[in-house]
Amino acid sequence: MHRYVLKRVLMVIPIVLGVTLLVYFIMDLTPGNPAMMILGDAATQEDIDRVNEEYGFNKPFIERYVSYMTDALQGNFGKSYVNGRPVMVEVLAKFPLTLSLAFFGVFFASLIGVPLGIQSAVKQYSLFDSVSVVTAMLLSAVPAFWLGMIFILLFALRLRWLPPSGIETWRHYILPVATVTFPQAASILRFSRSTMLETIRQDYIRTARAKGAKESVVIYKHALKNALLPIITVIGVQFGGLLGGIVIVESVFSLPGMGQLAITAIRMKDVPQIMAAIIFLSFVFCLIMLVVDLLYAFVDPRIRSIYSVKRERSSHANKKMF
Amino acid sequence: MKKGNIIEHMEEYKMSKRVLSCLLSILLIISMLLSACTSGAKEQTTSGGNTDKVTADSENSEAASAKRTDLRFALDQEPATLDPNFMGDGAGFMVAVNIYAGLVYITDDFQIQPDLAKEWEISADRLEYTFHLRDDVTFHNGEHFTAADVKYSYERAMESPYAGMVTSNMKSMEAVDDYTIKITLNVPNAAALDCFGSTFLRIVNQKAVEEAGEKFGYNPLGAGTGPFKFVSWTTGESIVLTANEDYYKGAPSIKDVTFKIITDYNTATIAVETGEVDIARIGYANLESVQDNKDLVIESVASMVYDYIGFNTTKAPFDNPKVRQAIAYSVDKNELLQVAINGETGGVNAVIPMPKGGFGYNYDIELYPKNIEKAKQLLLEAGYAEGFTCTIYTPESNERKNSAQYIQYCLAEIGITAQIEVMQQAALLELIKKGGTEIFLMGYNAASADADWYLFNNYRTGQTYNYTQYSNPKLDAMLDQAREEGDNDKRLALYQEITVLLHEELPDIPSFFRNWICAHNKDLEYKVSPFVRNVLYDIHWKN
Amino acid sequence: MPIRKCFKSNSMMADVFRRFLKNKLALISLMILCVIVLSAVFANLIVPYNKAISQDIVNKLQPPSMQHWFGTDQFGRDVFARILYGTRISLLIGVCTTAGALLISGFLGSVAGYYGGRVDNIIMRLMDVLMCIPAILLAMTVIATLGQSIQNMIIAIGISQISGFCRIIRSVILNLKGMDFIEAAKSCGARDGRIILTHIIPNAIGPIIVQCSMNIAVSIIGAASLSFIGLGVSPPTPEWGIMLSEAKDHMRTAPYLSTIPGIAIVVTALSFNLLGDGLRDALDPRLKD
Repeated sequence: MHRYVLKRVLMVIPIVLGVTLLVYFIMDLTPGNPAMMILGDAATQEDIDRVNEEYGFNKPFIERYVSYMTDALQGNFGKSYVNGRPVMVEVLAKFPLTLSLAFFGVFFASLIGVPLGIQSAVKQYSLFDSVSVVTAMLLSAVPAFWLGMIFILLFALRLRWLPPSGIETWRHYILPVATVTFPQAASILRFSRSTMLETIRQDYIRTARAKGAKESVVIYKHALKNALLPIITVIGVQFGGLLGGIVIVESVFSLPGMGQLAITAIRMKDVPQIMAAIIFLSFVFCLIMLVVDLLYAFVDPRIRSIYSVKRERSSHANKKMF
Repeated sequence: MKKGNIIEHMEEYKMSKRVLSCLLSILLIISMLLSACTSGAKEQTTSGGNTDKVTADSENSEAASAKRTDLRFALDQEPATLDPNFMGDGAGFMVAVNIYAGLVYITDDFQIQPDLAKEWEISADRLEYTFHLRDDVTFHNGEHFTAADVKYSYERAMESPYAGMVTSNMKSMEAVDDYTIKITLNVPNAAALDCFGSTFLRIVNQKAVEEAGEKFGYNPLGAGTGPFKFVSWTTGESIVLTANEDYYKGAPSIKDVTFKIITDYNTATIAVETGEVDIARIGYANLESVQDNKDLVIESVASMVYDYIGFNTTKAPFDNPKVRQAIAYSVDKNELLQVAINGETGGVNAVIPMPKGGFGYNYDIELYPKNIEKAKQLLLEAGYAEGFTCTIYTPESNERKNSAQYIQYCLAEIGITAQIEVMQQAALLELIKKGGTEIFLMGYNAASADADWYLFNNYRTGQTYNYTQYSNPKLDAMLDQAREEGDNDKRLALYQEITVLLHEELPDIPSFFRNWICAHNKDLEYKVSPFVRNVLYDIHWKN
Repeated sequence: MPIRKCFKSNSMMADVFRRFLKNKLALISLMILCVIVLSAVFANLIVPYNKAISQDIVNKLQPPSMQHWFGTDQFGRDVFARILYGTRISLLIGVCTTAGALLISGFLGSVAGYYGGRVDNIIMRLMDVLMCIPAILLAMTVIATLGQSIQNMIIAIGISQISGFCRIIRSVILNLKGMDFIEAAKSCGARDGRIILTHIIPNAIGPIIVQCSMNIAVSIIGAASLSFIGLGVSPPTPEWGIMLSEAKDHMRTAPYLSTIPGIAIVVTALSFNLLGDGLRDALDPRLKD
């Protein structure tokens, strides 16, 4: 068991390194001379050479990447091209808001999606089932930012029940969290339902029934436990899409979180800031997936061995990427 | 087969249930959308009861009987800094005028009043200004105000890239004694006193600045002498000020001020409607929805904030005045006004780059009308019969983004294909100064309506705000002369010539002067200033 | 997975077809999609492109009426025309990203699934890395590098879809690989290439087409999201996302501007989703629930 945990934790390292390499590589492809960007068109060759020396822009890719990583591991992700402040400080300042939205989103989405999905599976073909499925289908075709706009239109502008933007009181959290929750809940509902249905079809359920066990015991004791595991995995995997979605939703509600940070940095072509934001978010997502995997393994070590196969199947539900 | 029948029967059953539930959910969603959609200008106006229901601050509903001492202000843009000497953006001005004071103060009707200086003398050659300072002023951090502080602040301002337009003319300053300071100019300037009232030359305390170090712009604790002290600034959220009880003109009636940063006008409008803030600048599109609200008072005043379409006159084809004129003929100014600020309710067309009523205004010049034929003719003469491609750079504000799309369309009509690039204000200013733009949309806010403030700083070679990089020695000579000229009639004649020249050369196309539109709680005594600043000292709660 | 041997492919297709036709919901969505695609292709026969970008400031912000079926926007442009041409752009982006992602993921996924072992390992680790970066952020990063344009949007969104797509294709191939008829073919002495071409691909096409359909929906929403935050198409291009972004400032005075483009997105994405569902049900009725 411990070997598995160790192995899984260690696996994070090459993956995170891979992420940083990928992001660094992509950003490196940005056309244009970064020295020119910092200095401007009126820069003389002398100035450009000086900046190149200072920042090390002339060195080969590997050297630059290695020096970036050695600094990064000590917590120094560089300074913003725009205002010269350390970029990680900005990221850490804005991140809590985004993270809280994400957690509330996942929490409520699971709270709504899992029970409804399971109940739909149990009461298949009922009106309840049909309404759930159809609503879930509709919601998963709705872009989160549009849902946010409609909520603002309805609840903030027309009915005046809630504030339309900003983030101060708990009231300000309601609409953004709802916007993030509903599409996520829809997707969790659909996956919970299909997993539960699959589980119910298994032979051992049939055996339990044949043995004369009460229906509720069959469902809630046997089927549910087994169905929950892939569901939890999928919720973890979906977290990445959730983070991405939050970035967009933040701009609908003018929230000062990571979304605003990343989008502004991209507009201003502030490369160090962009890299810090993307790497940080990816790192967090990696950690979440690690936690989910470990949780999964702890709950059922038997599954650990066929873990790789289960992960493939769970990606069937990974449709909602945006 | 029997089994087959059952299965098919079940499938049909399920299918019709599916269709039914489909319809139900669609119905639900359509009704939601319909209620959101039924538009029209009519809207529910908030009654007093609603206001209380949604107000986040419960204390206010209790304080309905007692007079309030707090004020919540919606700020539509977050300042870049609160360091007055290094301030380049309008949002900062709005907060800073309350924290810092200058030697003199310019009132809303453009009069100069004493502030930190009790009285002053101007030498006969108009080069030396001697100010006698008040001796009863303390900074917010307890330090006593002396002439040394004036010297310190002015020296700081001389390092600032934005204050160039006021400091470039200052040759030297001498603190004659603790309460007297003598400032010598390079050349006489009719508008010099206005400079001393500007935000750039407000006084800061040396100890406070040095203690804060690099963070001073974000945390200017104790550095000012104004009626309000800085308390805190939470980026992205709010700036808090508190009253300076020892203010030499008497303590302000408002004790606590919170500037809430609300960048979206819809939100700000709702915030002031629900009572979440007491004053908000509202967007031009929102004016209709709040006009009938009994709890609010709408103030609208023509401001000195001026928008223009700038050209990078060092880059072809914009170095050719015919091209610039052609573009002027392709735009319908009234439509531009509509698109940007909702027409006449939002502001007035700018014919020349200074406000009507300011000294030096030329009433004989007329707007460039929209004339596509003429525009194409001019392009032909300039050698661009086939048109060309270019980029319009705009900051992120809605008015300018919309203007950009409108102009893009107009240019297309005369064969010019324009792309739009949206940038953050600060980044755009950097790019403009480096000469990297082609067409850009920018604005300007002056501390006085005098022609010198608008024309000298924007069009003379080498001046800070000459973003178009326009350089015309003939114009420079005339501007210098007009600045030094003591005789008002001669000055006026010079400005008439200058404005005509600018109207032909068009280094930029004047667009419009905005109205400054605010909605505020009816219990507030508040006047909007054409300077687009908020002097909290003058705001009082009635009853 | 349908365990039909290839020489029965004719009757398999007929079965699939028959099941699909019985699924009313899928049929409706197919019809809606046909309307959408046809209107996109023949857009300039319905309304000239001119109407989608020509401004008429005097008539700005008019609610829906007989002259302007969906009203006008803040520049007086006809919203119906903009929605129509927006369909073109959305479909273009949706199809191209999916096609591109399919090509790359198809290759990688098949190789990983079929050959297994170290190759599989390497490719899957690469996909793990790719998957760690949330899709939208990856697309945004690519746009940050390449700049804004429709081609770059296609590349960006395409890249962000590779990891998910690859996994699915790999699992499809893995499932097939384990099937008896593959073993049978191998023991007959068939070479790898022949097995892939004649046995694996025809059986894999079904689930892959289903996935493509879903992916197109996701791409369309992704493109709209990118344009909404200003990192997608540039004005005056009529695209649903950018229309919503511009509508945000007029939510109080012209709410129809905020609702109509959104409905367009939902209808299109939903139709692709339902089509995908229908195809999946038709391909294997056992998987239906």
